[in-house]
Amino acid sequence: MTMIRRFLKLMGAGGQASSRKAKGGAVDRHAPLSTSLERNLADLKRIFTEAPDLVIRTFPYKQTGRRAALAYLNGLSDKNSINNNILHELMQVDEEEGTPGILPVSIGKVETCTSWTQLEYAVLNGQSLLLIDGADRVFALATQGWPQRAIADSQIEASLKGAHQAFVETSESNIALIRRLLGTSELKIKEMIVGNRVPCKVSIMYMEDLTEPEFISTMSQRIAKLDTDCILNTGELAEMLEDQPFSLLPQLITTERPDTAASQILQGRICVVVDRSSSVLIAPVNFVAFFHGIDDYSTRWPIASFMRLLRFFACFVAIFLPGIYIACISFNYEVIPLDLILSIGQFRAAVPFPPFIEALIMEITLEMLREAGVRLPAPVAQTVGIVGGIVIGQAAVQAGIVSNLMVVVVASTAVASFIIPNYDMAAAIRLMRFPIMIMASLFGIIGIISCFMVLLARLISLRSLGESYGVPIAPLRIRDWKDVFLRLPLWTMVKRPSSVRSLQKRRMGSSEHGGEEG
Amino acid sequence: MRRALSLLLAAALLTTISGCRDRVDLENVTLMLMMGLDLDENNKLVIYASSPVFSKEAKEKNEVTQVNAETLRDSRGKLEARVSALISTGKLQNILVGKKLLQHPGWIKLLDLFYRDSKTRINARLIAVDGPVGEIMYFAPANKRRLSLHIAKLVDTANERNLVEKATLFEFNRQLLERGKMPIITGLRKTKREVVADESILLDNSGMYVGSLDLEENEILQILQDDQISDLSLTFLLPEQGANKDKALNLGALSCYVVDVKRKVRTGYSDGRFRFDLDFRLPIRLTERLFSFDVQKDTAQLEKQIDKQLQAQMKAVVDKLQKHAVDPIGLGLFARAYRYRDWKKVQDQWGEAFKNADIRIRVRTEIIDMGEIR
Repeated sequence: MTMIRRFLKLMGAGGQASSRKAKGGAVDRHAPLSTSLERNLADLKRIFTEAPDLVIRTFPYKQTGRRAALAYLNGLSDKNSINNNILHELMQVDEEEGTPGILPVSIGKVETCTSWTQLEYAVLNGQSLLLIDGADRVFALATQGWPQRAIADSQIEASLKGAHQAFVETSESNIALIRRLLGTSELKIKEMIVGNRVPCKVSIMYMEDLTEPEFISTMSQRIAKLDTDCILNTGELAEMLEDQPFSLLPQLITTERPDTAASQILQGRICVVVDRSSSVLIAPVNFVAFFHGIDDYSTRWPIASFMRLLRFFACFVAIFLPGIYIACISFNYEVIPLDLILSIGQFRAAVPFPPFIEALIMEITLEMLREAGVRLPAPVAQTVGIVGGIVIGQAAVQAGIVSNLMVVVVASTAVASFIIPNYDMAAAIRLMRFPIMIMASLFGIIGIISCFMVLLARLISLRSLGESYGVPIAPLRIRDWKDVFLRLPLWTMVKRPSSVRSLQKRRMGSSEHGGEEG
Repeated sequence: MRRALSLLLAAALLTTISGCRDRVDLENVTLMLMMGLDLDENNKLVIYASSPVFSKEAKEKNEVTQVNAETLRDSRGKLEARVSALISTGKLQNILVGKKLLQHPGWIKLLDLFYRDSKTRINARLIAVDGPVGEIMYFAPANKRRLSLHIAKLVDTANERNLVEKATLFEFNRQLLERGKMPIITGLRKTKREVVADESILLDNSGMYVGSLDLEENEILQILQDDQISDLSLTFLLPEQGANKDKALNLGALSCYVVDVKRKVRTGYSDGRFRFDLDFRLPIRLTERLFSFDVQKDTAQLEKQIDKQLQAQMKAVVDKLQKHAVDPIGLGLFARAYRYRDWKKVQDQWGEAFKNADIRIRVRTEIIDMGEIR
């Protein structure tokens, strides 16, 4: 690991982001603002050269009679509120009407900026700048209004009975969606800025009276340490925050669902909302959490438990089935029932490739089909699915490229991998079966077992935000098993999972017990 | 850094190795499903091998080969020189042994290979063949599936109905080593049209052929052994109801299921002879009654008639076994358990001691069900 890291550093990737070059001529961004409107506007124009979408409107400020200017980026700002609530008020309100010293605008949030850095950030964030001749400060008015998508159902994490609101690309809306679900003042938000070139607002959300403070400090330390150009996506952030970035398994959950995020926060975890991204990060998480869906809690518990067991079984199938097929055909055919072995023998006799190559052909074809389906528009993707299904299912067998049973194996593997609710985990599991197929073709069942042991060891040794990934299986927390492989009735889960180390253990009956239990 | 480098190197080397040496893809295997052992006219050992052919181009779905060889292992090379791929006994179903070989002393030593080689299927059925083994090996009836599988199924189902005894290699070895019980295996013969499994072959403790039991005798033996597998169906001709073997239609016949066998064995020893009292209580269920009889009223009377028949049949079987000096019932186990000192003296000649033993049988049947009609 260390070797690869050093290598990356040499290549200049993992190390320092390229140092910032001064842009826009000689404007010193840390210098104080001038009191002259002309000079300030000139500086502003020098910062935003080649920016036709920057609108600067100069007008007489009626309250004081001085000249003033309003600057905003066209498209990022809401023109209605600029016209009606700012320009109209400023140009119309007379000296007698307005209170001296108070800005006569009907806008909720007004910040004062004293440096060019703040100004630049404010403009790029959709705020409007009000520059007044003779003043040494500039007002940034909250007029954000960029193109935004409506709140809709999540595509990737669809749910049958859960809420049908998913996060959008604005952190304010996303925070609001979580706040709607967790309407308590204990829900705290810690804001941080990531990105040297393009700053991005990152908000850490947690319950102050529940969440272990160590999580918050670790997370904010890690975020503060980030030294990167820009973060466009939660996935990028997750990759930089992970404990073991070289591991195949995801160590943080990214979700698009406010209800999932809220339920995790309620258990004592923290949630990181990244501006401009439609998913949020949950940390710390354990392996089994990737197999839980929000529907588990809205369906009745026997059904939810069955679904969970099905998912874990599917995980096993998706990882090991092709490997087991190869091992059984190449080494340990004694374990196959006789009648099956005779029919397999007939199918296999028509196939010219060894089982490993046969499996590889099918698996790669399947992966290609899947990827093709994702990229294409829905109607075309359907066609690809049908063509692929016919080509794989029938033609390949008839042409003698693969055997019938291989098609069954690959198809059930594919279905199994789609059952896993978390996309990142499903993708990791899909990738994992290739090394297992190689080991199975070299060493048979022994190879599979050794892979299994390596996998288990890895699961146990992994960490997520410094917490162990294998919990509650290893280290063992029997009490938490109510909500691991099974989902027992909610009234049995009186306490929060101990593996999250929440400050208040009890989540039910707290009125009798005073809510505190150490 | 160095550790990572060495790990990487190890991983790179891993891809170059060929894997385990025992790797054989299924299509490169000739799965031997049935094996035949026999002596030919010159009293030389012949090994037959029957295995499925997977290729679509082959007209026949089964290939059968025969070679002369000194031992089973010796035969493998010779067989592999003839069959389409590498011979494997991992799915061996049946081992057919000719009666001629069964009468040859020391034949069981040939089986050593099966027990020594961990890849051989130890659950393969050991079957004795009345007549030349080759006839069955090359027999390919058009209305049956692969003969190797047909025989396996035939033996299994016949055994399930208590018609023949069945011994796997594993079970056979146990019986062979057990002093107090003699081995008994399935007997197979070929008629013109089909293969028939209607005999059980009695062997002594050195595996030598001593005699055979037919279907009815084997059913009685199952009762004696208290080892019935599922419903055991018996048919009696009751002379009290006018049964007569010579008639074309025997209307004095009665059939019943033996629902359960409750056996009590008392072991004694006097005057240098073992004495066994076998008490049987058999709940039975009438399935067929060709004569008219008021079963509800005269139950005891009918039970008595059945008892008499059954007791006679059992006595006949025991007499036959005693005549051959073989004990597949396992009475030696009782002798060892209850009369250890006396057993110790005769343990190596249990067959002889069994022959001289005084065996008394008492049967009491109990009709628990007479069917849907009176």
